[in-house]
Parts: sequence; C-alpha cells; structure tokens
Amino acid sequence: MNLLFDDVQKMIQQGANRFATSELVPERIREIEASPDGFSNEVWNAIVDMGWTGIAVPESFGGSARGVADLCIIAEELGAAAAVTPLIVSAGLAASLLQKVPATAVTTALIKDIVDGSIVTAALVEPTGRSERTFPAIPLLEIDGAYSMSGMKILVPYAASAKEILVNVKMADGAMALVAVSTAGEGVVMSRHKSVGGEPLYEVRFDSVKIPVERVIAQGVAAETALDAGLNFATTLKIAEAVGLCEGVVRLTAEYAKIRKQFGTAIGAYQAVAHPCADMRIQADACRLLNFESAWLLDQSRSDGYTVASTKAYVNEVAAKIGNDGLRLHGAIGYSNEYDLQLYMRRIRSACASYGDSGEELERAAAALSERFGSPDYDGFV
Amino acid sequence: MDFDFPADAEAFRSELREFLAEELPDWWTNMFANDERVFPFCKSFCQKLAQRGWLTMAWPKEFGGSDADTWTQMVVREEMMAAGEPRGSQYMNLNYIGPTLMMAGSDEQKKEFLGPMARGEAYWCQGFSEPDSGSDLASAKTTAVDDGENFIVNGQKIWTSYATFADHCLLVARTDPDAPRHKGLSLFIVDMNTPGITVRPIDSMGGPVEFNEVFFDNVAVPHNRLLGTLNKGWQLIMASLSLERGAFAGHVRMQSSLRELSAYLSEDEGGAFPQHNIADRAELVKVQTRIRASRLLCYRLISNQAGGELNPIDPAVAKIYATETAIYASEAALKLLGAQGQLLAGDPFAPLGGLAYRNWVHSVPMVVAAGSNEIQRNIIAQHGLGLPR
Repeated sequence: MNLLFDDVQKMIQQGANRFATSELVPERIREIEASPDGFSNEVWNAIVDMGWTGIAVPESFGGSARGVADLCIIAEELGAAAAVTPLIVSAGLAASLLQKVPATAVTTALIKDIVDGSIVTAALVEPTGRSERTFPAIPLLEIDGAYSMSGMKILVPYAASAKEILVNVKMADGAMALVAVSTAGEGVVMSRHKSVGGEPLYEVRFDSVKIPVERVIAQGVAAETALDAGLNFATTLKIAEAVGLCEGVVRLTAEYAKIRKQFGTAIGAYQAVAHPCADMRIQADACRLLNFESAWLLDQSRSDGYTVASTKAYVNEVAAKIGNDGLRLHGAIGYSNEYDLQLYMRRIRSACASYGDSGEELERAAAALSERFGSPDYDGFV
Repeated sequence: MDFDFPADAEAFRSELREFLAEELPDWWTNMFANDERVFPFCKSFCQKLAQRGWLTMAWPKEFGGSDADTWTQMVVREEMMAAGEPRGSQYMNLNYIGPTLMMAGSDEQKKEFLGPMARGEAYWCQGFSEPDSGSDLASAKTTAVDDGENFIVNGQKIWTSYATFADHCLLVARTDPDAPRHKGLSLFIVDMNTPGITVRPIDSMGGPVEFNEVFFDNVAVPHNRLLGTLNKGWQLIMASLSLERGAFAGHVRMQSSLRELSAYLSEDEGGAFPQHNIADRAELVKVQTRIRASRLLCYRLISNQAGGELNPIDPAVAKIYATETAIYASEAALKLLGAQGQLLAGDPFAPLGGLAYRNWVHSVPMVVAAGSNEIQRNIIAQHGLGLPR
C-alpha cells in the first residue's frame, strides 16, 4: 500500500504541469475554444511529441505501456488549466477499445496511428440514447456480404479533427458491432453542436456509408466487452479531468479570497468563506484518491467497472458543488465571462454529463455492489 | 502507487482475525456497551495482546514495541476498530499518549509509564477540555502553581472519557498566567488517586459511561510529573492531538455495518439488495463510496507519514471526512430501516440489535471530539490554502 506517486509519475506530473501552466494559459484556452474546430494543431502536436498519446499503449504499438493511472495524472493537469484535448477520446477510449477487440491489421494500424498523433474518436450517443452506454439503434446492413450503414450519432468529440470514427451499431440479429469509419469516406457529414464545455462535439450523419468487412472490428459479446473496457477507461480519464477542473476552482477561489476585501478584511478570513474553501480541498482530494484507486485496478486488470461507476457518480456531485460554490464565494465577478471561473464551471457541467450521469452510474454501481454483498467472500472495499 | 496491503500485513490480518474470533465472547458488541463485563474483558484482552507482542507492536523496540511497519500497524487499528475496539480505552495509550511520552518524557518517566502501557496494564484519560475551553483549548483555566515542592492543581476538566477507571491523566494546565495564552501552558502526568480529584460521570445520549467531569481541588503533582518543558506545552499538545486524529480507522467499522445492513435488508428479498427500490440501492452505493474515500484519505496520511512527507493538513482532512461519513452512513442506515429504525437495543423488534442507532449516536459527537471539525477546517483553510486568519 502506497498512495504516493512513484518517481516516473512525479516526472509526468511535473512535465504536464509545466506544459499546462506555460502553454495553456487562459487566453490560449479561450482562443482554442472559439476557433471553428475547437482544436489546436500546435497544442496537439506538442502533446504527441511528449509521448502522452502512447502512455497507456503497449510498447509493441509504439507506446510506453505505463497505464491509465499515468494518463489520469496528465488529464488532471490539463483539467486544472481548463484545457480540453482529444487525449481522452483518442488515447483513452479508442486506444483501449482497440486493444480489446480481436487484433487485425486494421486495429493494429489504428492503435499505432493514435500513438503517432492521429485522432480516432468514437460515435456512441444517438438522438434517442441517454449516454455512451445506451445500446445502439443504427442498423448495420449486410447485402451480399457487403456492409453499409445509415443513421445519426450525436455528441461525437473532435469529429472534424479526427481521422477515424469508431461507431457502435446494431446488426441484423440484434447484436452490437463496432465499426471503424474513415472521416474522409463518402457519406460522412458532420456539424458542430452548440455545447457548454469547450470540447468540440459534433452531430455526425452516416449516409449509406460503405463499411469494408475488415472494418467491422468486433461483433456481439466481443464488441460489448471492448466498448465497456473503453468506456471504463475514458470515464476514469474524464473523472481525472473533472478533478483537475475542481482544482482550478479551488485555486482561483482561494487566491481571490486572499485579496478580496470586504468590511476591511480579506474575505478568506471569514469562516463563512474559509470553511467552504476547506470543503472544496477535502472533496477534491477524496475524488482524486477514489479515481486513482479505480485507475490502478484497471491497470491491474482487476476492475469490473464498479469503482469507475461509483466514483463517477460521486465526482459528478462533488464537481458540480465545487463549481457552484466557487461562484458563490467569488461573488458576482465569478459570473463574468472576462474572469476565468466560467471556463471551469462550464467544463465541469460537460464532464458531469459525459461518460455517465449520476443516475445511470449509480444504477450500474448498485448492480455490481449488489453482487458483491451477495457473495460471502466479499469483505473488501472495492 | 499500490492499493494492496503488503502480503505479510495481510497474513498478519488473518492471524489477528483468528485470534479475535477465538477471544471475543458472544455478548461482545463494542467498548461503549453499557455492560459491566466490558471493562474486565478489555483488560484481559489487552494483556493477551501484549503477551503476543501485538499490543504495542507499532512502538520502537526500546519501549517494548517491535517497530512494526506502518501498514501492519494499520492492520491492527482496522481489525480492532472492526471488532468494536476490544482494547477498550487503551487504544489511546498506543496511538498518542505513549508516543507523546516518547517525544517529551524524561528517561525516568518513560521507564515508569511506558512499561505498564506495553504490558496492557495502564489506563489513562486525557485532561484537555474544560467547561469554557472546548475548541479554544489555549484558553484553559485550570492552574498548576509551583509551591516549591509540588505543582498545586486547581480547576475543572470535562468530557473526560475513561476518567472513572483511569490510573493517570494527561493534564493540560496553566503554569504562567501572565504569559500569552499559548505560552503559559504545560502538560502533566497526574495520578488519578491523588487526594483532591473528584470524578463525576456525565450521563449522555451515548450512555452513562462515555464521559465525565473531573474536578481538581488543591491536587499536589510532584515536580517530576511535569511532561516536557515548563510553559512549552502547546506544541506538544498539538502534536499529541494530531497523532490522535490520524489514528482513526473508522472506515472498517462503517464498512462492516454496511455489510450487515445490506444482509438484513435482503433477508426477505431472497437477493442481495432490496431489488425493488433503485433509490435504496443507490443509497448503499453512495455510502460505500464515501467509506472508500474515507479509507483512502486515511491511507494517504499513512503513506505520507511512511514517506517522510507528512502534510500538516492530512490529519484534518482525514478526520473531517471520516467523521462526517460516519454520520452520513448511520443516517442512511436509519433511513433504510424505515419505521423500525427508532427501536433500540434490547427491544425484540430492533433491527440488527439496534446497530444503526448505536452507530448514529456514537457518530454524532465524533465531529466534535479530538478537535472539532470547524477547527479542522480552519487548519485546512489556513495551512492548506493559505487563507488569512
């Protein structure tokens, strides 16, 4: 048992912190968000050069095989700078999903591409679906051994910057399949949503898109298992980002409470301000530790998703409260778009909604906890 | 990072569990039970632990310990807490009174007092709080005046657990009334049999045996019972309280209660949970997640300690989170038990023998004990976030 970072993790953290605080300053973050694709090639290339896209990928694909816990360290530092990047969907969700499906030339090439900096995104949510985990309705049609698909997915991150999109679809027998679709292919049309969080999200239409057979990368249970693994991975990274966003709020609020004077006193000296600040500190720490335990279990291949789901539900609540309290403690200045707090508050809203809202995650966790308590052997905490 | 206990610590845990299963009598629930068998049982239990070298295994060898590593110490705390603390009040000796003596005691004091603690024969109480000095401990009014031969102690302490049977009291008293508040306090080791000491139990919601008032009326304390340096008690008091807070392993008790609750709730369901009610099941997840966080905050403190990077706000963070989670967990249990939740131990219909109520009644004062959570929040705000006083 040791909850401290090892030396490599400390180095990763320092590097990520240095990059975030020097390159990802608030003006830059605003610029990127306001750009048409919500994406900066320059920032992304720097991220790729630092090797972050390969941190959780085995060496055989060009990665450094460190794991999701280490990627969480980076996601948190980026979150603390209110920076959103394709790291979570591409190096997280897509890369881990692709490692779980049966290995083929297509999947191997995609994983290597991700490490090299190509963005692979995932189209999972449908207009009638609650979340990324809702079973897909888009049919995968098979005619004379050739596949094609038509339909719409929404909330697809970084679709305009992505090379490939992983899509979950429904086969004729009702089972799920995962397909890899090139964004350059005929019949793929996208437009950017109006959304709260800074991460560019797209509506993507597939219009009789032809899917070569080798691009159906998993079917049935294999598809569901791989998607579940990818989502657990991505959820863990999204939580880490949320923890970073919370840290950003804590930092801004504590700084402001030191300099803002009312009734002749810095407001941080009033316990009505100081104590909620202390609560933010406590809760952000709790969230971080919960999530690192999840990440560690994932890296040890010992997770059934229970800690991921229960942590997401908890962090959703905590992050929303930290954001709201940040505004309350700032006063009206926190509501202004000129001040940075809004960057964090809006991204927190998005992080809470992505990869599992509280209700859905609690249901998922309750089913897993129910099994644990039903087993006479269970006497642990995870 | 590593979220598993070392294998040898887990092996020791199994050994300890076997020992507990053999030693704990059927009637045993916890150390605060209002049952005259509790005190004699705890006493003999501690002596058995001591014989096996398990009582003070966390202590250095020179003081009768075995320098056990931090995670083995954690195993002891957890298993004792899970079993309702069968060491009784002696946990205080091990966790912070003994270590405070090691930090500041004279050789003679260490020899006289640490030995009996290590053998499981010593009972102590903590004389800190006063009627007008709770959170504001530095305002303590109890005085100790040097008459040339002894310190003569006068004053009153309150909320003193275990004072009815304690042999000694770790006492805070004012020794320089003219110095600034923090600079006029000293710590003393007071023999509870000294003439002039009166103990009056305070009947409380937790039962008749949990708290006491202690009156000091011209109590003579010999010079050699001053602990540490005269008028320099404050830092020692803070160090002592920090050790006390950091040693709380409430998560195991909460988790075992949660397990009992879920088993109880599922009895008439034939499944593991009340399947019909997603809100109830979600509530159990919320409780369990908080218990898990409480455990991890405790482990982070220990990890930092072991790594020599003790963060001064860690004990405050862990203490607030654990004690407030204990209330959350017991509230949730009472809610899930419905109308029957109000039945107390001894009533034939009381669910789980009144466990949920017992957990609640012992959880509510924990946010006040060992430094109120408001004071802990001040510590975090000032030392963790750099906010002004």
